[in-house]
Amino acid sequence: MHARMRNWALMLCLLFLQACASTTTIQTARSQFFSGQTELALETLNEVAPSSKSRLLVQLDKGAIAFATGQYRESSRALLTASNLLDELDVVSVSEQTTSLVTNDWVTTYKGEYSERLWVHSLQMMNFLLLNEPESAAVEARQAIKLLDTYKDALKKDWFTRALIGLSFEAVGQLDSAHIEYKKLHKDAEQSSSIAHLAWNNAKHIGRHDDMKAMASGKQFDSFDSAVVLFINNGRIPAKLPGHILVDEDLQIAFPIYPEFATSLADISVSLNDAPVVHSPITTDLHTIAKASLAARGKRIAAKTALRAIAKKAVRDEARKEDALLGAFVSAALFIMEFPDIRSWETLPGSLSVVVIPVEPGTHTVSVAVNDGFVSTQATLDNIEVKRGQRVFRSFHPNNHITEP
Amino acid sequence: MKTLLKRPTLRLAIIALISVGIMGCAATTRDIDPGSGIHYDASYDFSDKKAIVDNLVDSLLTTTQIDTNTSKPIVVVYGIANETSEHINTGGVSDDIRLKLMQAGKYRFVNRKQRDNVNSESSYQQAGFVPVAERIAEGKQLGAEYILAGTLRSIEKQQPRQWRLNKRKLIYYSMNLELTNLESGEITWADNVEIARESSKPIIGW
Repeated sequence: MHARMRNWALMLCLLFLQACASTTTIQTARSQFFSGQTELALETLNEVAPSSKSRLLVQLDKGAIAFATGQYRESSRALLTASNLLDELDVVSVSEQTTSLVTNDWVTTYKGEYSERLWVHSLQMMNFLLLNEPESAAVEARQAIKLLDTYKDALKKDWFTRALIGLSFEAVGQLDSAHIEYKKLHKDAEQSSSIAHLAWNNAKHIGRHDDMKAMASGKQFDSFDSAVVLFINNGRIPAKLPGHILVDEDLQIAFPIYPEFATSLADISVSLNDAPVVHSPITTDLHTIAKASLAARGKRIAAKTALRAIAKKAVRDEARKEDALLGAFVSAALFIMEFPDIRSWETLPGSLSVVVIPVEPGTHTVSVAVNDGFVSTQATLDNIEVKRGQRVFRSFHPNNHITEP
Repeated sequence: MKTLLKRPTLRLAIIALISVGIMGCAATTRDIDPGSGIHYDASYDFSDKKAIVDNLVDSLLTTTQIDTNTSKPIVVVYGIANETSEHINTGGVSDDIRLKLMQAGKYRFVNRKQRDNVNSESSYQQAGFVPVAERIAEGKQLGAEYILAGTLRSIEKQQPRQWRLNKRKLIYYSMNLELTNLESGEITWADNVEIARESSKPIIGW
């Protein structure tokens, strides 16, 4: 019994260490990305074993890094792989769950938070719109709707993604589908005049006069056909933190949390041909949605943590009965291994914004300034040619100063 | 353990288990019939494409709404819009339909995808690099009489979230194809193919 216990303990420690190895490589790649070495970061991510428990994060990070550096085709490829992985990983593994009961959740395959699953589609919609492939953007929009319907409470305040769904449908000419999404969005975010204007403009194009009245609610909107659509991806999403509660001197329970600080969104000002644009950005604070998303899994995390505490206590007591020294060793190992799974998609921006700028057909210059309270970044996009009825998409990443598709 | 391994039955059982494991892990390849209707899940695959193409081509070749006996109608293909939730290359469907109709010898097609290249090549020839006698004559391209276009749609229903061992999914695909008369704007012919499929996937795995 003594030897068997020791072997089990050693095997669990090995499993735990194996899970840590790929996470270290991912963290290295992230540090490289945050310090501006994007190509090196992408190379480092390629070093992670394809069978890694964090293989989803590798694809998510590749997608976000490539997107932030304007490599939209590469980004869409990585995120398509991530999307397929999410589908493939949608199975509860008995072996992983059993092992995690006496170790921690790092030995399980990372499946992404609900919000992260949605943002795969948000980034993909932007990728495809910037690549002028609206039909593919609309495919992603339909996948995003499924997630928004499934995890309504956690995700409904993602105004950016919801507006992007409408824009994707409009881009492919499916104005009725856009109308349905804009109408739901306007109902949930009545206070946003930019959302009301988008919804009103769409309703006008398909002749929904009753909806137009409700959407305008006394305001005066001008209809438009042509527009420059600017995506602004600013800041950095906070990482999950470990939370701990000490049950007794030998037993602790651990769970992931998001930091509680209130996010102050960056001040974004846009001008068209040197005149200020009155349309305010439609913005999602990713930290808020990520917190809501983690909270939506709260009951499941709590149940699993409680179950693990019971299992670990049983193992510890059994080991102590066998031998005092073995008991002390097992107890210490189980205590140290009680570390929450704080894996998350950390290469995402802190906020995603979209500004729809109605324009007349012709050539335009758009200037954008982003001030997050610490750093102010500006960029000018010259010679944007817009044809009648056309929507031209551009993206601005203040951290990387990328402005062109 | 050593004593246990001395038992022949147990030894055989272990060898058999290892053999089964190795055989299970071996990589294999085999040719399959594209029309065999093999589906690994409920989503769109090559046998769906074949069923859609075969049905719509049959319908177009047997329709009495278009006279293909006195002359071959000239058609331009405007592609098939993908309105599903999957990234499906619908270009493959329209290419196959065009190919089968051409092989049947009842329709003629204008190559819309190559139009820019045709114009560029024609301009090059007229620019003086090619002897006059060898230049192609301008103004002799075929004028399409019909537009062939369509839409692929899907409706997906998943089993509600509840305690269960399998996740069931129902997908319905509908492919509409229509032939529009360019002169009158009338839809001269239209047909559709429907495919509905249910798949189930275990929620719990090893």
